[in-house]
Amino acid sequence: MQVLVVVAHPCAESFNHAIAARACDGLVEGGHTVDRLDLYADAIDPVMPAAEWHHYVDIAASGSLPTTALEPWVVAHIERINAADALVLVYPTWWSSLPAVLKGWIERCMRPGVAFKLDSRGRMRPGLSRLRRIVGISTYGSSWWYVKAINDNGRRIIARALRASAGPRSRATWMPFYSVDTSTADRRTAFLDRVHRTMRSLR
Amino acid sequence: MSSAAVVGTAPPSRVRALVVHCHPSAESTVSMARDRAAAAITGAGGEVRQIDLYAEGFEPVLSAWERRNHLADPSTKPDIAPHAQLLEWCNTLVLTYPTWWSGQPAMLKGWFDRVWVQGIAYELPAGSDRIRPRLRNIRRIVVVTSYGGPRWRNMLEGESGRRVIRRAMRAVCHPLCRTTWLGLYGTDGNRARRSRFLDRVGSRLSRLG
Repeated sequence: MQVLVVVAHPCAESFNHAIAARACDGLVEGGHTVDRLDLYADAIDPVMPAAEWHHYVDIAASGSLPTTALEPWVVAHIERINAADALVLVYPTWWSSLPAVLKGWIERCMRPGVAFKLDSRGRMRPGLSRLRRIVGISTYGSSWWYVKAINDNGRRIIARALRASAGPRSRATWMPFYSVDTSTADRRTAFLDRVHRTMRSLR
Repeated sequence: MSSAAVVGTAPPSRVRALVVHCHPSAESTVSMARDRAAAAITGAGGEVRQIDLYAEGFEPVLSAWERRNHLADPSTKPDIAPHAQLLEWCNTLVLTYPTWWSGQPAMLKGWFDRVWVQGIAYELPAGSDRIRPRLRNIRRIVVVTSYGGPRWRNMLEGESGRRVIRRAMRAVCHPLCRTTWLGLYGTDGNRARRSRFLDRVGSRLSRLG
């Protein structure tokens, strides 16, 4: 499979980057082709500009997908999304949801015509037809029970809202790592090994 | 019970509202709703301060330095100080934004990530994985938001944005903090529906007390 691995953590020395590295190692061992995307290293601008927002208004008004001028990086990232059979997202959960850089990447790249298409009657249809697997790997400052009480909203956005764009036969896999700030080296190592194994056997 | 305790738990007599607005277009329904909300609060005798994240070009991406120093004293982060002071000043937080991908836009999420930090929004005792609330001055959160899709689709997708506010953000506010949710579903340019929504925003926010 062609796998797009997206990592969204500001610090190269972070556990998230260690996870992304092991995920890539496992995928390569499993015979997959890896395309690694580091949103912080690419310094993408996650803020949707007014022109892109007006595009959505035009769709609502016309019931079709008009074309719009996109920034070159958005076009390039859309090509990488469209080439992927699997999407692996590695990020820290902040305020029970996605970091702004990842939320904005989804907002700007998972566009009309990409994440969803309109059928002949103007209804929304999933657009990520090639995508078969979505894997979320996230660290949490909070413990398991606190995450359950507050609700895992980043997971909901990816495993429900985004997965709905990938069509009914796609599958979502979730790998959470709780209480990261108080975790022991043994627990982190065990998690990295688990990520490695899971990615190696990804089908 | 001592009189001091009674005073400490009495509801505030006057609304001090911080209106945080997040929308790329000034012509949008959400932007109109922001104007209506601010006018309604002022008209009812409340005080309003405003932050317009798009207008001021707020940077929503938490930096590597901020991440490495996320437990540092807020005095080391002067660029967020004006917003932090407003957060500590208000007793009512009004958020106006469009719901995208069932949550807050990146711009507003980044405002949470960068401004609601240790020493402002919460305290994180050493060795703990559980934060302690610090914005006990906030007794009400009002959300005014638009949804691109119908209500059922947002329910299927899990209403993540609503849960972020009602559970995660509210958890660092006053223990009795209430939330008021004003949502316009299926933003399809229907003028009559938009006008009714704006009226609802105005009337609800003129009686926050």
